[in-house]
Amino acid sequence: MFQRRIRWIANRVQATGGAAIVLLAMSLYQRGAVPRPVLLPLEKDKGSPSKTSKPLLFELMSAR
Amino acid sequence: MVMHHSRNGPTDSEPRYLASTAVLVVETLKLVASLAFATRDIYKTNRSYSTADTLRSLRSSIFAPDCWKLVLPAALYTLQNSLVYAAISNLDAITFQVTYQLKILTTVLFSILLLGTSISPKQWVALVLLTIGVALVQVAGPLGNESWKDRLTALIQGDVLLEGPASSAVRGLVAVFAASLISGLTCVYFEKLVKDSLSCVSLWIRNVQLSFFSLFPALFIGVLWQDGAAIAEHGFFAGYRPIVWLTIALQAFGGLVVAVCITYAGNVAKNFAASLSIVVSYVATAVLFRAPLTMPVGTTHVST
Repeated sequence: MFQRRIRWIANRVQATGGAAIVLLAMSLYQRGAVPRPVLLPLEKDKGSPSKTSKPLLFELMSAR
Repeated sequence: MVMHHSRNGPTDSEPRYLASTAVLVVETLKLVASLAFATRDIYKTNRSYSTADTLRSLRSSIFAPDCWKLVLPAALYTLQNSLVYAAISNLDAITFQVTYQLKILTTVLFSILLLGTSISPKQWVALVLLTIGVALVQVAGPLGNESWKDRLTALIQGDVLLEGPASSAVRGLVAVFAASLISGLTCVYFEKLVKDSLSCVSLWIRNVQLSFFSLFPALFIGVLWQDGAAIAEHGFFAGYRPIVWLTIALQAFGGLVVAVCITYAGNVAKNFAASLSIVVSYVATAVLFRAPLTMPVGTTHVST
C-alpha cells in the first residue's frame, strides 16, 4: 500500500515535471524564433508617424 | 480519453470493435468531408457551373496527373504503422515511448532539408526539451499490474495481442528509429506537397487524394487481411457503441484539423500542439478518472 502511494506520487511528480518542461520548451521556441526582416519605414516616411507602420511589402509593391 | 474509454470500457458481452474497421470508417469520413469542402470551393470560384460541370471539375482535380504523389505518404503511413508494431513487439514500453519521441526531431530535420526551415540554436534547445518533456509525461503512470505492451498494441493495432517475451532489442530499436524517420518524412513531404501547389490545388483536393489512397491499405491490409475472419464472424460494425462513433468522429475531425494546421502553421508547430495535447489529456484523465492513462492518446497518429 505504502509502495503504491510512493509510486503514485512519483508518477505525478514525473508527469508534472514533464509538463513543465513541455511548457518551457514552447515558450523557449517562440523566443528563439529567427527574427524576420525588420519592417523599416522608407526614407520619405520618416517623421510621419501615420506612415511608419506601413509594411515593407506594401511599400515595395507601391514602388513597383 | 474518449478513444481509451471506447477500447477499455464495458462492452456488455458484445465483442469489442475492431480498430481496423474504425480506421477505414475514419478515412471514409475524411474523404467525404474533404470532398464536400472541395466541391464548395469549386462552386464558390465558378458560380456559373452546373452540377455536372462541378462534378467534372472535381473529378479532373482529384485525378490530376500529379495525384500519384499522394501514394507515397499513404504507403509510408502504412509502413510506419508496421514498424511501430514491430518496435512494440521487440521493446519494453518505456524504451519505445522515449525513443519514439525522436519523431519530433526528425520532423524538424526534414523541415530543414525539404522546406528550408531555419532553426536557431535556442529553438534546437527547445525542441530537445520538448522531446524530453513529452517522453517524461508519456512514461509516467502506474507500472504495476497492467501489461503496457498489450495495451499499446491494442491501442495502435486493434485487438491483436503479442506472443512471447520481447525478442530483440536491437531489432526493436532499428524499427523505432525507422518509424521516427518515416513519420517525419511523411508529415513534411505532405506539407511540402500542399504548400508548393496551394495556389493551384486546394488543400481539400490534396486531402481527398490522400484519403483516397489511404483507403486501400486500410481496406486490404487492415480490414481484409488482418481482421477478415473476425469481421466475417461478428460483422463489420460489431461493438460499435455510441462512444465508438464519437471516437471515430473525433478522429476524422482531428485529421482534418491536422491538415489545416500543417498547411497554415507547419509540422513543427503541429508537434508542439500535439505535445500540449498529451499534457492536457494526462491532466484531464488524472482529474476526471483519478488515474493517468499512460497511453499515447495525443500521439495517436492521424493520417491527414
